[in-house]
Amino acid sequence: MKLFEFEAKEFFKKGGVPVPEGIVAETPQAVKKAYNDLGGNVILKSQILVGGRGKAGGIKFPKSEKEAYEMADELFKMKIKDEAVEKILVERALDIKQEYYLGIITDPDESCPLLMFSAEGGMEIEELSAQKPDAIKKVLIDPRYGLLGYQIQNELKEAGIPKEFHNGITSIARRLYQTYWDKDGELIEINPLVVTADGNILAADAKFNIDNSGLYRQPEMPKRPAKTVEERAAELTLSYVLLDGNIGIISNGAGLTMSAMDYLRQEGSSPANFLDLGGQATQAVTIKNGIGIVLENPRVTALLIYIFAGGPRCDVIASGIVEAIDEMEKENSLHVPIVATLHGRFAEEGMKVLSACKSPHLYQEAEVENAVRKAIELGGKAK
Amino acid sequence: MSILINKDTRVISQGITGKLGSFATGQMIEYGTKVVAGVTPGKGGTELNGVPVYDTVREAVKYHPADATITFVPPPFVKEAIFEALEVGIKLVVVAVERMPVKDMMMVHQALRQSDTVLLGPNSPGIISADECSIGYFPGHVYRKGSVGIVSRSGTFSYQVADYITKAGLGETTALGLGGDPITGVSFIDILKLYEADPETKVIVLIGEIGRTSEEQAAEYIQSEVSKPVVAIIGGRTAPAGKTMGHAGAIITGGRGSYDSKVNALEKAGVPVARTAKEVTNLAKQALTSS
Repeated sequence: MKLFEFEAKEFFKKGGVPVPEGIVAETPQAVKKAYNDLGGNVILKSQILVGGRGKAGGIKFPKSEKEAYEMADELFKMKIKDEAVEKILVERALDIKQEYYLGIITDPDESCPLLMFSAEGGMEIEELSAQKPDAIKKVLIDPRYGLLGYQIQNELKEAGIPKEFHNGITSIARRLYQTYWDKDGELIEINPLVVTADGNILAADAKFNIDNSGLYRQPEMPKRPAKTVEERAAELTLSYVLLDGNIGIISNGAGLTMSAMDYLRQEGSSPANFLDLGGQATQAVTIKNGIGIVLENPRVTALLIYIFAGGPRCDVIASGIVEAIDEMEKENSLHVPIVATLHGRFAEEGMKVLSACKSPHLYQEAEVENAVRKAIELGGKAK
Repeated sequence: MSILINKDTRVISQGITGKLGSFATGQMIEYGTKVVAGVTPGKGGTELNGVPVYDTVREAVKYHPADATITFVPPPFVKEAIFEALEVGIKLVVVAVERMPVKDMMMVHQALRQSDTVLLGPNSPGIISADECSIGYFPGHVYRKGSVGIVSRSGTFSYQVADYITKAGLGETTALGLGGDPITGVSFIDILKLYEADPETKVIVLIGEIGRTSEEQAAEYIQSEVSKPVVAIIGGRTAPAGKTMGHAGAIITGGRGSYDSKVNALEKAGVPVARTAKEVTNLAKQALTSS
């Protein structure tokens, strides 16, 4: 789960990582009030979860109370990469002398936390690592001991950071790591970490992503209602990713679902989505839910169902498919052809269940290649 | 022959009394796997599917020495279940459940570095040695004793690949899943080493997917250390960057873990990469006849 900057900064504050004084506002009036409460000299930062906010014009520098109101009004009407701005963080502007980068991620290749520091803050870390990989100092952390002070001190020396900032940055790094660790973080990032003209070190920006698998034990994390179709699918234990093609896909298991996508591309078509029922999906209702989610997408002109049953049984899955089709036929809401190909446990029984279904919308194929071609033939190329 | 497990392997089922645990354990027994004991704290002294249940792993192995364990306990308790198995020195641990907190797995990983236990998972379909022993969810009827060793990051996709291999008359020695979570136990390299040493395995099939750099590392290892033919397939050729594709570990981030990077590394190491599951079988056959 991604946190908004203002949420991340609340956790920073609690963990002892200094952040600029700020107020969260939801209306232009509230922004104006915050402007005055902070005594002017503020910046307005739209609170969105996608990156690239600055370039998209999501950050403003008002010079007056009136400007603060007008700029806020403009921001609240804005959509940045499809994301509406619902909150603005009004923050005291900083007199910036130096900008650094400090972040910790869970490194899947090293299987432990990785701290990264760079004297060149402000730039996206992906960009920096592509252009100047040597500018990023890396420290692998043994989670049994946590971040050790000397580890970061050594890197600060190598990065040529002025000595008077070493202790301050080290203390921030330790606290940042502790926050990441205590809250089941998967990424925590300060970019830029700022040294002000009067020598204070603060987190000017904040990024904090939480490991979804750890959320159950993090009661302080904000609860968000499921907004996107991806989130609604997740609540039904389905992994769904919306893509831009026209052939819908339902499969079981991440690898198999990706292989269905790859088949489609190979045949010159493109998938409308990724939908993984889960490798151990055993219930008819799971596939019914899946069909419902995929067919919400108006771009879908045909649906490919590709199942390889290991634990579950194909006949159970087939009856879920038939139930879903029967329900939609009754409501007259099924308008696209469905091509199913079932493999693995009780595949023959599953195919019999499908054969017994008289819907003109249902097709089945014994071979996955043929099913893919059939779906493309029936669904046509993307418009 | 096979790797890691065979007909004599004695298995403990942790979380045997849960819904998932009892179902999968039943299937394992049906396949012929020697499940010697189950463990569920608080349920000690009972019996399930004819298997005696104990409160702790230590107690279970006291009466039933075991070579392997599979854990079905829910995510919050997986870390302790693994440590419990490590403490008594069980050599193979399969973690079937998915979504174990990554932080817990990082702690486990530190312990694994100082141990010779092989851990598959989390989110692993398990391991099967054809016609001998199955630990996990593998659909037994798909596998027949043969000469192909399979190592995979996915579950169902590897079943599909194996199905073609079996139908082509090749058959398998062992097939196993490393797990789909962001951090998992052993690597491709650990398993390649075992297949290389197994006299029955004549060709190795590596099933990877986008995300992480484990296939790139495997390619390097194959080039210098593996004399047997290896063929590969990578899932997610058409997956967009920045999106998690089902497996929490299957995500292309910051230019790392892309399909092209993996295929280039493998091909450079002399490993042919199939485009479809069916093609894997053809490549494996070619490798067998030319080697």
